[in-house]
Amino acid sequence: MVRSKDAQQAFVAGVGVVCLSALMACTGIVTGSDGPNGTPLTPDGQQPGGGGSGNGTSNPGAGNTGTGVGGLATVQPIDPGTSLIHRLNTAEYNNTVADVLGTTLVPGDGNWASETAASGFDNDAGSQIVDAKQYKLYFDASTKVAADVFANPALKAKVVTCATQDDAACVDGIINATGLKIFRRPLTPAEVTTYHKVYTDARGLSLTHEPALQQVVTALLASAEFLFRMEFDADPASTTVHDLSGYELASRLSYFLWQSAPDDALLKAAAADLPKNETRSVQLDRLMGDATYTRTTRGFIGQWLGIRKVATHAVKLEFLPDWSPTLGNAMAEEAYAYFDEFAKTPTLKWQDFITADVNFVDANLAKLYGMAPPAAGIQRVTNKDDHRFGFLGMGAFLALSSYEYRTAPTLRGRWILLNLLCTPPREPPKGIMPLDAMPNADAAEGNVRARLEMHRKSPSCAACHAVLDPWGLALENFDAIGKYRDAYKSGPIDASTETIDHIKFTGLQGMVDQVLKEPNLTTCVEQKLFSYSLGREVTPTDTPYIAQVDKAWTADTPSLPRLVKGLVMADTFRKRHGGL
Amino acid sequence: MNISRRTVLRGAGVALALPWLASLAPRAAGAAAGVAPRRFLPIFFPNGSAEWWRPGTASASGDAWQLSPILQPFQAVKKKMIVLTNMENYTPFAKLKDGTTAELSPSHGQAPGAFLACVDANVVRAQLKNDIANGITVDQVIAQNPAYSGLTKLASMQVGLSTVESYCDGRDCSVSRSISWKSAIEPTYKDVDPGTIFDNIVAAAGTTLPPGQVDPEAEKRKALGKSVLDAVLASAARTRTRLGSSDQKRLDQFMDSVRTVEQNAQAVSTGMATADCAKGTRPTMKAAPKLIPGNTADYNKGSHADVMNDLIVMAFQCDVTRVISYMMEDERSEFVYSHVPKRVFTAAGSTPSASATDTCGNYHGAQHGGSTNNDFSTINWWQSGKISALAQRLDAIPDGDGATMLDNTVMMYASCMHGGNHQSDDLPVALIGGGSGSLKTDQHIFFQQGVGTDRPMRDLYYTLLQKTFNINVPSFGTHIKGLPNALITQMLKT
Repeated sequence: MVRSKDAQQAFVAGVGVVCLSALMACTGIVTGSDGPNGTPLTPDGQQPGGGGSGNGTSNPGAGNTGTGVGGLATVQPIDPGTSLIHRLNTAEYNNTVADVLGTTLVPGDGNWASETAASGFDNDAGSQIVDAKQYKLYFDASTKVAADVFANPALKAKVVTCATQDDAACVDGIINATGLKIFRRPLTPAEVTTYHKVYTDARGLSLTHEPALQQVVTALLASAEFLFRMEFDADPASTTVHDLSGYELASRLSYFLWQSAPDDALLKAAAADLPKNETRSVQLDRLMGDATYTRTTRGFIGQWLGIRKVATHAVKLEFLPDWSPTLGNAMAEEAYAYFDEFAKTPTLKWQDFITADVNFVDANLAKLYGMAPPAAGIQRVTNKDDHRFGFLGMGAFLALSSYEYRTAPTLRGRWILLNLLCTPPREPPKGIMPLDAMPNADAAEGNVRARLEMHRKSPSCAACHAVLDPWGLALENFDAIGKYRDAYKSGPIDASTETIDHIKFTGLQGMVDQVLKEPNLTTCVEQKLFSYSLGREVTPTDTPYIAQVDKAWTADTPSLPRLVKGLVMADTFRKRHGGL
Repeated sequence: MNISRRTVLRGAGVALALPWLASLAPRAAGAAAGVAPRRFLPIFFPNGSAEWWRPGTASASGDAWQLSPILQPFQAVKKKMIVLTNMENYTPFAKLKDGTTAELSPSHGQAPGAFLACVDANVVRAQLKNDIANGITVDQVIAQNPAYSGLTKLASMQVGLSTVESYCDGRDCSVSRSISWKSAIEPTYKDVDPGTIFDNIVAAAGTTLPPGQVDPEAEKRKALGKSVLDAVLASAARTRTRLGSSDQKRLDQFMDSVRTVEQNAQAVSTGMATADCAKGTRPTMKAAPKLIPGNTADYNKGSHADVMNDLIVMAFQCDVTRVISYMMEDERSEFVYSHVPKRVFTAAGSTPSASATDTCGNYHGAQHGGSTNNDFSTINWWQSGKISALAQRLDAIPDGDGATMLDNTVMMYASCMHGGNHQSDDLPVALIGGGSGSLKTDQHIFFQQGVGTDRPMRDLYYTLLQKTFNINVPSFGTHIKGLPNALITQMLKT
């Protein structure tokens, strides 16, 4: 069956029972035929990485040119949206100064402003401001980074390419060359004049050539044009769609795929013909093929699925003595390594993320999973006897979605709906009575299913719990840190469950089989990656585009490399308009 | 040495017994003219309070009212305290049905925005089409008022103890991590690192060296810094013209920040000596090397709170600011309070738990552990102890005319929600300090619960602005039905 748009809206709004039937009754339709206007898709069937065959920039501004690259044709006229200027986040800042200037300093630390936004990603432009406290940190960091570069002869030589003191051509040449890297675009003549004055001021205060140039680098790094990624419209008030410049496109590419500034090769392409699909596709493959791409895969999954929080997840050792931050770290590393395979392997489809029987374990995690310890470090294992498979069988998920002393089937259900399926369930009502007052041994070791069933006898509780609990109840064989168990202290575990639509399933396998039937399994990762790739929240005008992406992506192997390429080659990535 | 004119003016014969800074207590500049300084110190705790907060069901004063179990640590300053019961902050959001029932339950991601602003951040956000949006907060109204803004080097300070990345209920985190807003789109983030706060106070507390003692190297550094920042400003101003209106606002804010840094650098970088009040030892404690959900070998929340008390006292002693907002945690904090031994609460008070190793758990977890549970109550009780210690420190510092610093301060110790039910009625609210003679202390003010009989926080702030800080605002905050502000006369000396 095909879920109606209305049903989907209701689900997203979290309307209790209605959404449950929408969720549970769907039977395996992944690519619906209910796209806008029933428009046929024209996937070109190319293999991932096959390069571009679209019509490039032949029709700039029209906003309706199908690119056809990566099998994700866009045939509808779409609004590519607009975007606020992006302040570099802390990770991007650290990466950028290291990559562009070669410094080994890591200026951004825990004292820098918090960046988590409503979108859930730390690169969301709408959440990034610079207050005076943060600017002081930027200013001090500029000074320190410039000093570090000029204290290192090899790094300094890359900046100070001529030695003639007070020679305008020499100084301007250095400002142009270094400014290009730091501002990620050529400087305007007026800008060159502004930063040249910093050199002149410093000379007036009797600094010599090199210290005066160090002042210039400090100023460039302290500038808004460095600290913010900016895209310009010919008319900032106009909503007319236009192509991004080569340099703007280069920054979108490098900050999405490397979390850093464009390197020399990408700047060179920007100066040439990066907006052309063929050129962009070559650069895309190069960036995705580089080890630096791991910054993006870790950043994405670390935030979307919360892997960043696993190592510091709160666990009460009195109830779960196997836990340690080291073990939490091993769980996080497992999730990162596992996702990395999906992010980089064109033959792995996204659905396999919850079905693949692969684990990455160190000695600590192997012990928890009941596996033989690896000889050294972290090992990739395909163990069929460990009761677990896929992401939903991993310690990272199972721990994150539990209390610090016991499992919470409701939380596990909520986690899956909220994060993996992008369908936030209704918030708990006010005046809610908790299942147990505080962590205690009875609650930690007791039969949580039995107590939840009591709780659900109250009709006001049942409406939500009936939606959330079945998912988690099927996972009761995994304790609050993901260790397999056959029984509670009070008796055997029953991992069978039934929804209010009377769909019955049992255990991890039964639960995963149900999740596989949920269309949002693919649309959710599309939405999240779309948001992360552009550094903005998904807006209503993006909906038709994402619907197209879903159709095209799921019509062939829905692998993450194909999705990334599809997103990058699409008009939403290479066009914009003003009017914000 | 810089025994200043102000010290002399303060008058002789006052024996100072400062617990931490062996230092002179400067009398605020305004006091020289016979006007008591006025300070505002709102202190926020998240997640609401357990039921053992409420001191009773009737108004009473003097010996006729008693501190509740959670507030018992305030015994030493009870005479300088007002507890208000059935204050509410739902009027900015509430859907009032027939004027009687109200939607009282904004989330952890919404309620803190209203804490000092009394507006609905959701509404402002939609109006301004800006993710980061709320309202100007009462502390910033005071800090920006001409009667206060020029008095001290720093218009205001924001400090806190948070170390954990709290969940923001799907909203922009600026609302739940920042209680002070300079304007509808400018949250002012707090400092949590003791060393950074200390440095800021020391820098602002600098005093001018005698003529001829200027350090030429420092002068040169200052000129070089100005050259860099002038270039940054010139370039940003030019780039600004190429951006859309939303981005122009962001760049305006950026340039304001650059100018603030420039002004601060110009003011303190050279020709300055450290003021006596700021000659304490720089705290070695780091806030936390990274975000952590509980105490570690390198971090203890209790020590962090103690150091923060020292710094707040120091900032007031140095008179670098009169307005400090203090977040004991971000809203919805899940920090594990393992440094606090659990206590057992009854209506009579609390006693240590039988087991010495029994400590408190996850703060947000405790909030939802039942309205009288001992973890939640003990965390609140521990907070009361820290804030009482701060009040007692301020009360030990003479502030002219027989008054203490506490007498010339309004500390507001409160949360943005009731407790485990998230509701924004019956809020835990206590005032400590005399409000420079304006407040009638040593009383419990009880309003009846319910729409129309309880009182909005916006009235509390309106009263403080009008009567304590002498700022004649026409109104403060919003009311969903557009009702005007009214003074809370019960808290005022007549």
